[in-house]
Amino acid sequence: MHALAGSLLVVSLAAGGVSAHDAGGPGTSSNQATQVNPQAKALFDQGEGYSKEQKWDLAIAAYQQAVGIDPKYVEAWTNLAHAYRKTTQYSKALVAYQQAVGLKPDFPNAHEYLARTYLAVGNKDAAMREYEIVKRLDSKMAADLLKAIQANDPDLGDSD
Amino acid sequence: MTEPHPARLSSGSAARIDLALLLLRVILAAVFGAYGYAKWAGGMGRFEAILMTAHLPFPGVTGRAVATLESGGAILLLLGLGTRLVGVLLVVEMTTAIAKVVWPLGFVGGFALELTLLTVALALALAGGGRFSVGRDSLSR
Repeated sequence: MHALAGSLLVVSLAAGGVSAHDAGGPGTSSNQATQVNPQAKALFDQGEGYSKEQKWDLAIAAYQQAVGIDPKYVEAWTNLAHAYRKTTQYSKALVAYQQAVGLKPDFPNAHEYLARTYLAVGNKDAAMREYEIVKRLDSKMAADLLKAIQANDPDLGDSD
Repeated sequence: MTEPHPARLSSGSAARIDLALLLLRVILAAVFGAYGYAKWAGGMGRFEAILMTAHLPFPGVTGRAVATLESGGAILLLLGLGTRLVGVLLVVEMTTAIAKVVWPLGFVGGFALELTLLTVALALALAGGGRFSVGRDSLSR
């Protein structure tokens, strides 16, 4: 009886420590904080600087080096994809976004831009599949994305 | 399945094994119960998105089945009912999770947790729940 009472206490403590935000895991450790390699972070920051100046080729080079050093660096993959998209290298952007969502499947922004990139290359079905994912993660973002898909305009409502 | 406590074990050894099995059941119930609860308490959409990204079929049904397994399985593990069956189902869940979701993240910060849970579930599937179980039939133990 004492063992059962102790067990219930452990479970209730565990339940209290897990929020809905953590609902994915176990099996979805993508939300775990991972340490970014400092060298990769420095290159990422450099890439962001170039992106702000719209020096896309330099940004791409910096982000490529960042993900080369740290292949699990989700934000670097996303920014690399963004830079590819800005230079209309859509097939490379798709690959980079897919890397990002593979590493962090609950990252709505990466799914949204993956959808917009699919739309840019005329793959509306794939864009709709991504929309269905975004709908489950961020309803407002999904509404804007749906408008863009319906208008067949990848940039509609894109603040980026 | 083989008997968890062969006759050659001393009563002290058998008691320690039963205690170890209880601890494994409690910690596994705590982890899966907490995550199952979180899914029902508002995290189902996020979980479905993860399933869809992993190209797993019927995300709505699968998500609810997994949440039911985790929360219901936690209660059964605590009680020591159907421990072997719950263990097998959790092994299947964790194997799928590792193969389809967390493998790209590597071991540290990636599938280490899932592998640990898989191993604990497999141990319970093999050994049963032990003597400190409500269910004393051969299926639950």
